[in-house]
Amino acid sequence: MDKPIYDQDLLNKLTGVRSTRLSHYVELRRTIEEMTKQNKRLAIINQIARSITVAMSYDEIIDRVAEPLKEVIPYDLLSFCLLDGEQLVIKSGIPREQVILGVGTVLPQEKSAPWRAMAEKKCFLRQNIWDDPETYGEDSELKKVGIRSAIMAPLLIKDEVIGTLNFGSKRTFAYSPGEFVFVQQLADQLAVCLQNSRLYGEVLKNQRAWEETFRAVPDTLYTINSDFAIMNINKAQLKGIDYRQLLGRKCYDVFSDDSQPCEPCPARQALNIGKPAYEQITRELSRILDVYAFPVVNEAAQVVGVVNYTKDVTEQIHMQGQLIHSVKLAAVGEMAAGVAHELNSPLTAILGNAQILLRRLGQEHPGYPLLVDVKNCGSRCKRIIQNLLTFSRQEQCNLEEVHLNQVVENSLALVSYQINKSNIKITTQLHPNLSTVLGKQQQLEQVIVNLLLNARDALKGLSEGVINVTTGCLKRESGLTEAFVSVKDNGCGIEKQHLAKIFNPFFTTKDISKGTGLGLSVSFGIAQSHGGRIVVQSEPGRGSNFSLLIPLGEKERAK
Amino acid sequence: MNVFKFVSPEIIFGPGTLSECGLSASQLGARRIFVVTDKGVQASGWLQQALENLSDNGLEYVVWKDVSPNPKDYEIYTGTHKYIANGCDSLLAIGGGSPIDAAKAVALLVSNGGELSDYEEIDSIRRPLPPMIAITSTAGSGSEVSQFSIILNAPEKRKMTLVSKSLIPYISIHDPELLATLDTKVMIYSGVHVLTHAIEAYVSRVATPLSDLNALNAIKLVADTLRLVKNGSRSKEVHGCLAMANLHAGLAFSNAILGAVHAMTHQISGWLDIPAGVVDAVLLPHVVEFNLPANQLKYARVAEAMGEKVTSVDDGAKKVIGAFKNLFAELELPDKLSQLGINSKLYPILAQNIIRDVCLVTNPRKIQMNNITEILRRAY
Repeated sequence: MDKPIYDQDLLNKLTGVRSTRLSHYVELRRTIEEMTKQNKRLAIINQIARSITVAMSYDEIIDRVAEPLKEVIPYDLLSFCLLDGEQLVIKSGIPREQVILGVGTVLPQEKSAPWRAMAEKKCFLRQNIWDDPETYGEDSELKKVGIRSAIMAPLLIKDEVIGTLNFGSKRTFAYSPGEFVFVQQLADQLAVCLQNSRLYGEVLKNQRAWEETFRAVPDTLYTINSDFAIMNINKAQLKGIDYRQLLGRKCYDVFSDDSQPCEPCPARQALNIGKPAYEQITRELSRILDVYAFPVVNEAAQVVGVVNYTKDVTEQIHMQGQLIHSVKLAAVGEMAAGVAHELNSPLTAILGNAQILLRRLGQEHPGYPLLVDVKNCGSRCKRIIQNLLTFSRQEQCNLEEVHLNQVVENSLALVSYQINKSNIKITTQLHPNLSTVLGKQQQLEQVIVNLLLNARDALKGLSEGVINVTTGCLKRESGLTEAFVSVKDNGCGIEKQHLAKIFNPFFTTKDISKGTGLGLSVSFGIAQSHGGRIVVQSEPGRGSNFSLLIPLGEKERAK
Repeated sequence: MNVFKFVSPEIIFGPGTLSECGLSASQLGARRIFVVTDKGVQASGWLQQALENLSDNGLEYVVWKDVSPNPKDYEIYTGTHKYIANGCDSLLAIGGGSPIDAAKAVALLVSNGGELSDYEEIDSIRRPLPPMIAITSTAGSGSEVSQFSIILNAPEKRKMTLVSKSLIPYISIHDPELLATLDTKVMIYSGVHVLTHAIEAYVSRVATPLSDLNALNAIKLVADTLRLVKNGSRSKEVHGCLAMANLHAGLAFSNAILGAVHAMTHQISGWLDIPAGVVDAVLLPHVVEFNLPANQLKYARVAEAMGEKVTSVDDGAKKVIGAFKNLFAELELPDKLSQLGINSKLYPILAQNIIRDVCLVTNPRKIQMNNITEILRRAY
């Protein structure tokens, strides 16, 4: 019996001593184990993605990643580096406070493993760094911290590499190519988070810049939605209310204390017509506002809101009025000076000749009373001309001690004739011991003249018109003492809706040929320049009372 | 005593057990079954019966009946595609060796992928196969219990032998009633094939006490039964004996593997596309003649099992070849390869393929290229 030498291994395989039917149970368990591992990894990626918010710093991000990752991939060193210009810089890592290969370390572009992972755009695995025939720039540093194996995954945004995610272990062969899929998935997720965080930072910076610009505008700038609710406003404080409390409130509620949109309302116009609108609006305290409304249009070309730009132009308008008025006055003054000069010579002749004749004729002469009349009228003419000259030369005058009673008398001298002509009775109650104020007499006279003429106009057509001029002293609650002149009439009064506007330049209820709308605004300006004010009380049909109040000079107050 | 292992599927044996297929399948967790068969089985009506049983058990199925005798690799790829395309989850093979081998190959590819040639190395399957039930409708192949699947590599005209425990069907159903539809000739061919399997397994280098038990039983049963078949007996007992012989032989060679006859028959029947039993009948006496020195004792027992009066080992060994020749003569089988229409010019090519056949490894006597050509020459 020959005994050929057969391959015992082959025989064993054939008879199957060393083999067993493959079992689905084992395969299933292996599959389940693999899936459980994958699920856990996916869950961790998910958890990481959810817990990282855009506002996190790099260190916070790596903190979120560090702990859960330990469960599925071992590491002794975890870090990520990002491209900073041309350099690859370690931005954060675990362990913290590591000096070697710590935050800020720049990885050399020449022969660096993370650079290689970036160049190849795929995971790069180093199983045994200390004995690797292929060396890399960071090897000596890795040896110092005891890292023997590492896996590096590129951080990819679409196809652009922004850095790498790095795992290091003190064991050799701690990682296998089987880990590539997970590590790359993790890197992809992290890349998105890091990119978001970076973009968020930029957006935040831009937003802050815009917000600062927005808040820096001194005028009121606010946006409303189509329901007039305030969406944003540049004033940090408005009427003592923090701007955050204003958000969502109706603009008319905030700005006009009203329960419905103002009339007129440029914002409504802008909402309706979809084009910028403009209105000049007077609000309380006689503030004149230029309100511009610019519609905000969405992608579907619908107007969804309005940007309102409100500029307080009160000072500007008043200045404009005063300027025009003073130009007018200057012209009047020039003319008056001319006329006075021209009239002075003939008046001098009239007065001189009248006096000569009076002296020659004697009182017995039947023409004597006539001549006296000529002389008196001539004198009166001269006085009027003098007043006119003084009045028109106001810009040249200086601050002086002014007696308000004197101001009243001068003013009445100028206009009482005109007023009396209209069958209006003037009564005066002048305070006998009124202190002087520091001011410009001519300007103050201008105010009183203006008030008197307005009173006359208010009494036009009425019988038994009376103008009562009073001077006096008032002590305010603040302790300030003011001297006042009030001009009171029993005329038509002022309609309530006009009351807020009467000091606006160019506002008038008179015929265009008669009123310029400058009188009260200029008077108001004069009062202000004296540190004073004009107060109005008026009742339609019953009459008005305008008071000029000027604080007493320092000297007087000291008394 | 040698270390050994004995493998076998769950076996269901007995008349009418075809109708166990539905329950078996549903117990294996099947829902959508890929039924592999051939046109012969369809014509016999057994397929319809099996399908009805599947339906009765609430199972869906897809039938693939385009398997040819000696299944070709390209057919397997077609079947695999059909299995996957229909979302099947298990297999039922009903027929002779061809549909069962084809089903095994499909099961292999659907779970492991790749090409059949990837698995020619023994035990190279890496993933478990879907559950499979085999119902044998013939006697002879033993595939329904074995860990083998033989598929023809069509471009190379070479039979590939796939070997793995995972190729053993989960459940093997042996219903003797199915043999009733075979004609006498096919039954004889099948029986000779069973006999050859049993003998080769018995004398195999890796035969074990368990496989020997099966092998000897098979030899005894089949030798007696074949004569009855030849004499026209179609009783239930005959079918039962043949089915049992087939089961025994299948278990024997699945565990003890085969020898040179099988290696040569593989190639020749594959080449000529003729039933293996015919080729077996021609080759068996010649191979045993070559192998006899390797294990005279066992060959003597074979002679005894075949009904020869044996007085000693030598006596039995001398009588064994005569026993084969007598039996085959009685069965009126050819005894020369030339009678099968083979051209002796093909021998070098056939020998090339035969020498690569894994079954040669367990042949009781080491056999080389020159031995093979010599046997073929003698058998011509």
